[in-house]
Amino acid sequence: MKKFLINTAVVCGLVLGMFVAVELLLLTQTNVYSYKRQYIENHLNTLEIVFFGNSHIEEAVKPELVGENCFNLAISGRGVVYDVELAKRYIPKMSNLKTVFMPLDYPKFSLGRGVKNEHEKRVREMDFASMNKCMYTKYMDIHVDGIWYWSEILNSELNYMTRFFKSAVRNRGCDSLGYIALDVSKRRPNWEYRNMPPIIDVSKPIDTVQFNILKSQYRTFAELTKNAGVRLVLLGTPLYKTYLDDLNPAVLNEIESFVADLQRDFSNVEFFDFTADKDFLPEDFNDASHLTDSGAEKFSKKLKLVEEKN
Amino acid sequence: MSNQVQGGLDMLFNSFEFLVFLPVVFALYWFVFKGRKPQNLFIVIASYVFYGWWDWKFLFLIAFTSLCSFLSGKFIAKNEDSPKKQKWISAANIIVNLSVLGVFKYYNFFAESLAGLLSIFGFQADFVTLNVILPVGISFYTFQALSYSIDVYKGKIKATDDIVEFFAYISFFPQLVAGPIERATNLLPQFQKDRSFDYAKAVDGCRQMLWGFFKKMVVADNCAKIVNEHWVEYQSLPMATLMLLGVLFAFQIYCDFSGYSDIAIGCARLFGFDLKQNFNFPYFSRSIPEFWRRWHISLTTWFRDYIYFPLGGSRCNKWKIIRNVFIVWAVSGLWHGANWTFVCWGLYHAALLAIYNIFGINTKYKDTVKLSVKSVFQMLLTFALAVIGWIIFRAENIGQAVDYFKTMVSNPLIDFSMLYGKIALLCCGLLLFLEYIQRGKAHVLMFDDYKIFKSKVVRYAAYLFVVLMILTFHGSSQTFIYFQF
Repeated sequence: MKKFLINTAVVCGLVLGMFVAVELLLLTQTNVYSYKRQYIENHLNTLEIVFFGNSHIEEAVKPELVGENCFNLAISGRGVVYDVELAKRYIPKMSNLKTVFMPLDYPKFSLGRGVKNEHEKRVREMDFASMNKCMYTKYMDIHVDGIWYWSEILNSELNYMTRFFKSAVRNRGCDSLGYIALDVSKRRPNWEYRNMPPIIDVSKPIDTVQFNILKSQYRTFAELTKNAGVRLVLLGTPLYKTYLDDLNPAVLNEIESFVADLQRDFSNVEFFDFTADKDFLPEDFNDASHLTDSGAEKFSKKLKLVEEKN
Repeated sequence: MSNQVQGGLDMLFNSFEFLVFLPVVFALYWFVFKGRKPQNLFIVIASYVFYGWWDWKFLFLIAFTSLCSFLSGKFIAKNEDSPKKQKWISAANIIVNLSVLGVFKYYNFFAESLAGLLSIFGFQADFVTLNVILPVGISFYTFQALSYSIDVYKGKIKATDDIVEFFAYISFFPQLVAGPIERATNLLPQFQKDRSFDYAKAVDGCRQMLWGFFKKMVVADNCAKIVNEHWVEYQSLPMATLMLLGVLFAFQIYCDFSGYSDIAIGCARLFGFDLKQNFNFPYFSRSIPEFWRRWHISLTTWFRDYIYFPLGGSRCNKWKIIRNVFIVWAVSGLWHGANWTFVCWGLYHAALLAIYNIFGINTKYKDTVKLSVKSVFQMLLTFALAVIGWIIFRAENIGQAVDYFKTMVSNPLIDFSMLYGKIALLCCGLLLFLEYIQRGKAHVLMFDDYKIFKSKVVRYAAYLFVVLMILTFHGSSQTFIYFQF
């Protein structure tokens, strides 16, 4: 038994050592989180336009088409809690900032009333909660739950080890301004029914805790931008007709009144709704709620007009 | 199906919970609970914690199943002079156990099927369906419990008087939820003997567990990722991709299930127990009968001993043999799940076995697997036949299975942009290569006979390499397929 315990301890020690080495070595390999953090920190005094948000922005906005000194800070799967932390950290330090864009998505208004959409064709759901905790802790130094370290090996759903075999540019995944292009030729056969909205039953009571959190997050955003003398543009990103068909009009009204409430207290808040914009054709969509490269080009040009309204 | 296995706080072998659970149980078992009886009691406690982690309410069910079989064994032993009474007691235990299984696993299936059948003839039957969760591993432990009372009745084993050792036999956590299905003749005597720590056995157990993790986390989960993602869009895929998905599912289910068995067997060895080998490199089989001698051996032999032989087995005329084969395989299909796809899958294999039987094809091979043109052809043919079966098995319903095959024929032959699963295929290739080299052994990491592995450094490097492979190529965590059975 003694021999077994010693040998097991040696092997476990070696495995643990390997785990630690991998965790540390991964820090040296660029990824989208570390790249975007580094970029924004290096351009704090020059950036004029910054896009926050998730994949609906990351894969939909080409910063070079929106304006000069523009950066797409959005990252797929990001919750508003991380946007708020990033905003708190960077907005007060950005001396040239003029406009901040932020999505206001329909699924955020599920608020405990949503069920999975039966039309949804995407099978695999990522566990964004623990992955975000790990990636934002490790690469953006954002701690949302007081835990000092979330292991990448145990929590990341990304193929982290492949970073050792790829170049820095491929590892970051986005272009130099933070945009990720989706190629229409690689679109999946049932793309129309992928990434569909949850079905929201408004007869159920709203989860008030969730609602208050959401409200306070957007108010923090509005306050930060107002204090910095910056426009906060809330966006409804373009959606394909299959997605639009499954939206609940009552929830859309809730979104409208949510924005109106915000605008009442913060004059710098604007809302532009492109969800049902007729200019977007089927080839502009990668799935029901994400744009292809051509869609991103159209959307970015429209956002340029929004930006120029300033 | 309205009764589904519940997800959530499962203590999967590849979970963090199990990573903590196993060393704690190991330490308490060998250092605190010394002696056979305390260790047996501790195994029951640990196993109930393991099972209760999933849903504590079903602990009553497993306790009930265990108690019924334990008491039936005792009563059978008590009534040695009255074979008639023994028969009734054994039959009652079978009925009770199968009823529990029937309610939780098959009630809704049969109610819905009967209602569907009656509606064809114009009758409107509105059976009440139950909104029940399928208890994890119910088919496995029910069969294990059944085999005990049948073996006691047949005089193959003496009934035990020790309720703790019997409960430990039924609930032994390494094999509780997905087998191997142990026989009382093999496992129960091990609970009746004093156990001492065996270094070689424990080390080999660890290696087998490591290999099981590799199979599950690298091969099965990578294949699962591709299969699950693309199966839903099968109607738009070309023939080559549909075939590829079938092949990947064949590897997924093999590595998922045999990986679980490897972990279970290895884990049991840490506690001084030897479980039965459940898989013997099945994809090197040269015929379907050989495949079934190598695949899920504990279930196949269970059906052979408790259904096929009592029906007359092979000691009757050809047509009766074929009838027996079809009965056994229909039941085997149903055992896998309450869905007609599983029944069809069973009948498909029955038909293949019947063909071998009718034509008297010899499937008893003298040599172990050797690569020759003939044997490679036989292996490929057997694999292709198995893949066809797995497509039926994977389909959500019979309509989808038929449609899948129709789509295969009607859609374009190939579209190179739709050939998915490069990493998954590489993993499958590596698996086959290593399995071929190590064929004939209990598992791939059994490398003591290689001179190079006598060196501790090389051995440890090999272990680290496997761990590194798991870290590098692991797919996203998926639950074990066979939990639902």
